[in-house]
Amino acid sequence: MKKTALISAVALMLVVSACSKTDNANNGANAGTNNGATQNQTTEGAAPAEKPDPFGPYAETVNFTTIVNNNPEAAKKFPEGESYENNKYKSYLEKALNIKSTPIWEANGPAYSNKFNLMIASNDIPDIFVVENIDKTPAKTLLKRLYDAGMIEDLTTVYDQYASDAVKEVNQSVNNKALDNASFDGKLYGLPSVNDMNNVNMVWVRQDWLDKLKLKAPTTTDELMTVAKAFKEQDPNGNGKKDEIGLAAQGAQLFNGEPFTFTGLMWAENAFPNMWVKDDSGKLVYGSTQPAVKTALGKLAQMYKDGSLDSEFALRDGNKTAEFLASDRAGLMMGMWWNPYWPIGSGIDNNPKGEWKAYPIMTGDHVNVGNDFYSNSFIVVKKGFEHPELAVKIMNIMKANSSKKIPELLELETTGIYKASDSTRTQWGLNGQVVPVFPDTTARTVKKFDDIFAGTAKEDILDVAEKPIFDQVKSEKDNPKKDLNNYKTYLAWMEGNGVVSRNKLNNVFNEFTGTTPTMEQSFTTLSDLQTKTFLEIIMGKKPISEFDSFVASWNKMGGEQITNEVNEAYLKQQ
Amino acid sequence: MAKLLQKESTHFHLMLLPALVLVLIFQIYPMTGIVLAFKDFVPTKGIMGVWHMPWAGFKYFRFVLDNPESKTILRNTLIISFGKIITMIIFPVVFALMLNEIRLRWFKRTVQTVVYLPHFLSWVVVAGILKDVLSLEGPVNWVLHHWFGVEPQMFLGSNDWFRSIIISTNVWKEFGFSTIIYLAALTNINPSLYEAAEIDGAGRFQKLMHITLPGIAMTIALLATLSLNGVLNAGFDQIFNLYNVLVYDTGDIIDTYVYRSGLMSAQYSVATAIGLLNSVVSFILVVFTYSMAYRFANYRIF
Repeated sequence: MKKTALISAVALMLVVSACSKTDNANNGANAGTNNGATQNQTTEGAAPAEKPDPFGPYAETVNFTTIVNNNPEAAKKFPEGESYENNKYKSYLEKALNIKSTPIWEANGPAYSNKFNLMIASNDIPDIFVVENIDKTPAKTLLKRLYDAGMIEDLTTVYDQYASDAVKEVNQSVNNKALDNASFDGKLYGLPSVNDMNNVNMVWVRQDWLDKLKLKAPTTTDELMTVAKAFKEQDPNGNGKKDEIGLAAQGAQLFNGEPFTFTGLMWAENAFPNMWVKDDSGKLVYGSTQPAVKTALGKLAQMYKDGSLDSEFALRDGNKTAEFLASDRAGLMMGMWWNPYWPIGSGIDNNPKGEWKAYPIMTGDHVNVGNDFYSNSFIVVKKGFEHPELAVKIMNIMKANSSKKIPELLELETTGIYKASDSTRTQWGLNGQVVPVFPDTTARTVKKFDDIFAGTAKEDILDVAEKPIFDQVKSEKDNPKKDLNNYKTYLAWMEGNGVVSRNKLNNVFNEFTGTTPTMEQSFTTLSDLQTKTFLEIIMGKKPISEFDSFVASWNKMGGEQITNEVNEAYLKQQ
Repeated sequence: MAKLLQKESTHFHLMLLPALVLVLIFQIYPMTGIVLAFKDFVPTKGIMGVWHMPWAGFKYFRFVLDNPESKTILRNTLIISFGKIITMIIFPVVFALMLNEIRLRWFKRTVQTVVYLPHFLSWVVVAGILKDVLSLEGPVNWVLHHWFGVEPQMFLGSNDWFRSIIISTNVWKEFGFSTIIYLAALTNINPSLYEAAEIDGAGRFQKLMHITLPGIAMTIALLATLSLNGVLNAGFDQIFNLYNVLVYDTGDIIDTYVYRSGLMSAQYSVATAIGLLNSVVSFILVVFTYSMAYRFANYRIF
């Protein structure tokens, strides 16, 4: 209680001091706010409210600071003369709203994570920025950290007033759960993106290798094991050497959203490592310690024993593993729908003859999919920033652009410099994009494609965003492998997203993405223990029974305490 | 004042001033940050506002001491460190003595240059090379397998090998550079001693044992002493670039653990507490080794 009082007192001071510089737009933003003691103060005696306009420009240029995640790989894909600092998206945004953004720093990779953490630690945050997962810390944890520290602005009112219909429609489609997820004590502190739930972990496989060895396409874990073993032993690349590696895998990350991980294999066995899931009694339990994980680990250990995993996979990272695809030594990997662009893309470029196909790993009649939540990134506003509604406006424009509602930008993408568009070029001058979309967006699109190819629908059911993708897919269908970019797009959409849209999905949610006191202290130790034990079991250094002693020590070393705390916090959340 | 300036030692003390200022700014002032180990970290206050954060007492120290991983980390740090210190005394000294016996000047110079070159490579580069060289399909395993019939070893994923690899690659990279100091010390030995010994009929080995070695004993003792204060600092760069989850049991040292738990998981207070413990132990070691150096090598700084 005392802490809350302190935070509100600080907040009050900040807001009041910020308002000494108030201009009209700010009054517009705060007018009508009645649900917060602090904000009541600020609106007293303010000028009458002007009507909030979701896309309206400011009368005077509004300056704000931010941060930029300047991935050098993405930077290479900018058209001539464009950059993170200077590109058409950013300048459109700035012109349309009459704003100017200045990054206080730019970084990428681990440096970005460190700077981000230090930025919060030193209370030196920019005015508007995007909170995303940092390393293993979920975005929600970071949001909570920022909220607890009283560093970010309450956006409840500005969201109600300024969010565009398109943004609100998406949030309503998930019963506003994404908004609840970004709210504390009933107030909204971050603008969530709602995600397309297409994170099915599927198997990508060289169809020509399958055909050559006369193998059946894998649809269950056991069939996958058979294929991996055959790939390892029967020389599918035909160079006379047993240099294939079976299932391409990396050990640096065992179970997360990265390609080459074992996540999908686990899900297929009804195991959900690194997620908080409900058990039969409705209590939350940690997925990594459940018996299903043991079964799945047993299968992985068998694969390692068979030689169908690279014997040094534990020392590999994604880039190293991707080299096996490029050099024709691997034709089997677990991954996501977008993998034809990377890492399979390099394999396709080096050996265009390779035929890739995607298959789901079924659990009975459905595919299990683990999801963090409807959203895992948020736009936040620094406490005291004069124009909190600006964040909402930026999101409105990002959303409008994603559904191709902005003619200037659409023209760039269809006829102008962004033709053959690459989504990484879309840079608004922030460290990421927060675009709320319907959870089944891609599945809807692929269904339309299927209907058109089946002759049951006409091309005019496609919207402007879907049309260019369809064109690429169609020209690939007409002229196979004429243009390898078309081939990659075809694979990603018809094969990868096809797996998403044509199968019955069982979405399982991570029920708790926050953090608890014991978690903060012991989680490094616990996750080290987990990764180490799992790797040792898979590599046959320890027997499978080691899993039970892992669970015991996990509980003893703070896991039990954490589980209790998580359940307590979860009850409070409800 | 005038009297003070006339004193013979005064100008020496004045020359110390710039160094003292540097130490104050970069060593002493940042030490105020260690108070964070006794505080609950509150981000809003900022790093500089550490004095206004609530006291946590010895909570974080207790956590560190109770943490079952602490023992492993400390053991690894000590083993790797002592391994490095001992090898880094033996190899450079032996090498310097051997080099000293060589009469061909150009050969001596060339060898000297070649062996200290690796010092200038960063661990990032060296680690990249080592990962390939030591992989199952790398040249080391090939030679072992084809010439000696040894089963291929996963060197960097094996707890049996990891420490030896860390220590030996450190020797490979650094011994040439350390040799320079001993070579310098060797030039300091009075040549008349050798002449006298020769007249007395001493052989090459006797000269080595009775003149050369005692001649550089002080330097060896000094360098050994100085290296002891870094005993809890087993070399972050090297290990961070070479280790992986499989070798945490033998390869995880204090610094890498602090990096993982402190910076990556944002547990600043815990990280500071570990760092402080580290410093306290190092301080005790410095005092201890200094008195040892005085007793056995008759070495004094002051």
